[in-house]
Amino acid sequence: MRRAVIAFTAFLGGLIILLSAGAANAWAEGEGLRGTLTFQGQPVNGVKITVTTESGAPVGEATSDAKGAWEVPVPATGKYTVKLDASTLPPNAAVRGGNLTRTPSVFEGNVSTVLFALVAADGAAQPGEEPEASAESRWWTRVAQLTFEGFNLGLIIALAAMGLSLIFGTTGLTNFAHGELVTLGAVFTFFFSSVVGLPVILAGVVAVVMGGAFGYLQDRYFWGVLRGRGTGLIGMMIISIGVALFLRYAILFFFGPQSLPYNEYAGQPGIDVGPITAAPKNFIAMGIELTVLIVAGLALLKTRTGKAARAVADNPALAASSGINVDRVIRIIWTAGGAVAALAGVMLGLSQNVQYQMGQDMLLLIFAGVTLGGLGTAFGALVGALVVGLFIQLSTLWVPPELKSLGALAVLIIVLLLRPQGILGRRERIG
Amino acid sequence: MTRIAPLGRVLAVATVASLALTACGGGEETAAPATSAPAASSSAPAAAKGDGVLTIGTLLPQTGSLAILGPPEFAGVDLAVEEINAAGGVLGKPVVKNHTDSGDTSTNIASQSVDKLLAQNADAIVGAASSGVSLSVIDKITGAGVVHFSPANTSDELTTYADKGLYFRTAPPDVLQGRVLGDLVVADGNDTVGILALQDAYGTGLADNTEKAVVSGGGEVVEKIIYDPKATDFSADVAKLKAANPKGIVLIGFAETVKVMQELIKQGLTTDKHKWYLVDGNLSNENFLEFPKGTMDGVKATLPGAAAPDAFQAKLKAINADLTDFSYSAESYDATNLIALAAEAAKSDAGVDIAAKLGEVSKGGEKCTDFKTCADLLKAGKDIDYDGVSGPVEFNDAGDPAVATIGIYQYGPDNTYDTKALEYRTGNIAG
Repeated sequence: MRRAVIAFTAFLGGLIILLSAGAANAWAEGEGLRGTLTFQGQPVNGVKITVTTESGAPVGEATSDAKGAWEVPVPATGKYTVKLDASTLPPNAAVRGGNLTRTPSVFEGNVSTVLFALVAADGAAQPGEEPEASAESRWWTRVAQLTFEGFNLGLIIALAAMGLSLIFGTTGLTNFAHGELVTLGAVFTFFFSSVVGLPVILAGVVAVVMGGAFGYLQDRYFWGVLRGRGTGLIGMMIISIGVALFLRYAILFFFGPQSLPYNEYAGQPGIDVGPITAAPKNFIAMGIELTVLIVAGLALLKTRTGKAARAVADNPALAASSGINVDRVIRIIWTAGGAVAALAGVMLGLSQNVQYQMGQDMLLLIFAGVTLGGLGTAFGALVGALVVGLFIQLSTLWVPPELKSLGALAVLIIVLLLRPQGILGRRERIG
Repeated sequence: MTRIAPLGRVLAVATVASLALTACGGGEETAAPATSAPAASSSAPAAAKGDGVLTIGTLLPQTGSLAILGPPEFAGVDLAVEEINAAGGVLGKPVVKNHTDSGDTSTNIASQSVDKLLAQNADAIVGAASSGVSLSVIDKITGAGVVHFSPANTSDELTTYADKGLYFRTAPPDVLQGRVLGDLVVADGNDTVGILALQDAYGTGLADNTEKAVVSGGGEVVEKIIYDPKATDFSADVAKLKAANPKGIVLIGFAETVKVMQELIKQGLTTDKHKWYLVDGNLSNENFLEFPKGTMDGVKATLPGAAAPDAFQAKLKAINADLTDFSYSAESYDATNLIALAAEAAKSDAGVDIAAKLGEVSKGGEKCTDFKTCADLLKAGKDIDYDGVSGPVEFNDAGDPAVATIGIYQYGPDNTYDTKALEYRTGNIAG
């Protein structure tokens, strides 16, 4: 493999030199056909090329020169047949794929390039055989890579889904503006790193704190007030769509429409870990995401506040009458939800770019993750989001990538048909 | 306990609603042409039949995924209008220009902008940059009897569109760019080629034309992936490409190409092992600056249009000092000049009269290269042939340029490209 890479690089290098030498005069001469023959990085001299018209009338012949280049002028535009005489090739070389004929078109005033890629002819690396032999292993490499990408995407969805699920559980609000909380995390990070000049890691921490503060303020001065007034759940849902639009276009106004990477870690080259190739930043980000999710899940199960939150989710009136300060619990949930959503944004911006629609594009997947995992469970959002992430990525093994979100939504429909309470949700008595 | 069930129902409704909202976001454009249907029945309706003032509206990207093309295009129009008015205007009156934003296909901005321009009595509209956007408003513009003149549309769908003879463009259809790009890829010795293309009229059209040229030159397209530009991430698309392991990778898209590239780098398909090729939609001197030095070294790109001469670039810099790219600036300049000359030749500023004369002023007559000379020749009763900065600009019957030039550019280790092309290839669109 390494030898092939070196040979290929040398081959390209040689080609660039040849082209830059030959190009200038080639175009001035009118129509023609040309090409360059190289084998294992070396130009191939003395190979005979025959050009005929489509009907077989001879047009011209050429023999590759010391640089491997050949050129045949043609009298008019149109389709031509180009044949390579295999007997004039070096004994150990062959044309890749074995086809010695090309049928290029020549256009007015232009020389068309014809490529005969030469490969070693000896048994070890028969043309066409090598890729087929590794096709199965390549497929498995791709499965491994896609599984990794599924976890990568799923964990980011899970972070966002956790906040949405908790807020929904405690207040009943379906928050359509949650996607924008994700976007804000990325935009804050971008602002504090690229504009203010903090390192990206520190900027990310600041963004998470700001996200938490924004969550707190939202509940303190907006959602809490609406709740106090007894606004209906459907009304609040519609209001959240308005908030989403407002935030989205406010971000568009201040940040602009571009898609920008952070000023550090952008285009970080991948490293090979077993069959997977990914950038170090991806592994670290996934570690942080997983830690946060597990800590948050445990906090919900073990701490006083966590237990109180689950009590409020079950029945707010009963929780209040047993001495739990419902408003305080909800405010903590909003703060934590905003912070975790901002963290999701920080991570999404790290693995891709910052753009004002990034949260909105993910909102449907977040909803799918929440619904799929089941409500009112500590790890439901995590499981649901991972299933969504994995299905999106792995479904591309069979469906075209442009349809990849379909797989996740199909599994959502199927799971909800069979288990309406979600994967981890408890069966509820209805009616 | 029974609280969960109705809440679950609300969330299910919310999921469906968010699906529907997403669908609306993408589909709104298609509704636009319907409004122009009544106007279409009369071939030359109200459209300010010779109100004496030539009003040129622009519909160019200030926001959206093609925003990088906006500044040079606006500068081109501004420069032309400035020169025209300095030379005494059209029909004895200064030309009026109105700038509007075209957005991209994910928004409905273009449709609103066209309404605004039509309300301002525009006689000709210069734009849009994106073929997809142009297709969404062409019925509305041509239905109102206004000239629709794009400096940058390259989709071949627009060649055959029923435009009542009112659609023109100075950018060549992708047949030629695909041919040059395919030949370039083959000439660089890439016998296996992978194409990643954006899912719209431009992306799929150019991908098909490139594939045709690669195959005809003796290369093999081992993977052609059409992706959804709004996808949350592109890892699955890139993993599929990686499994096919092509030597050459052709990236056809707009601003989302930066995300695709990050994914290519992450999964190890870097420019030192594979050759990357860009096109006019993603060629940029600003978008790749955050990448580590050398990331883009050796990447080649094709861009329709001859070299913008230094003098022309200097004049544009005087209009907008921040310009770093000059893509389609010459085409925009020529479009504006041609509209003004056609109005002068027709002695009318009505859209249909301008359209009738556009072919005539672009070819067959005394050659001239700037508005003042051409207008003086017209006033002397001579037939003119305007040769622009972007090329000879000779319209065929479909309103496309018959001959065009494609430049080939190369990136250096500093992740920017030299605005001087490696070479220019001129050819007939028809072949």
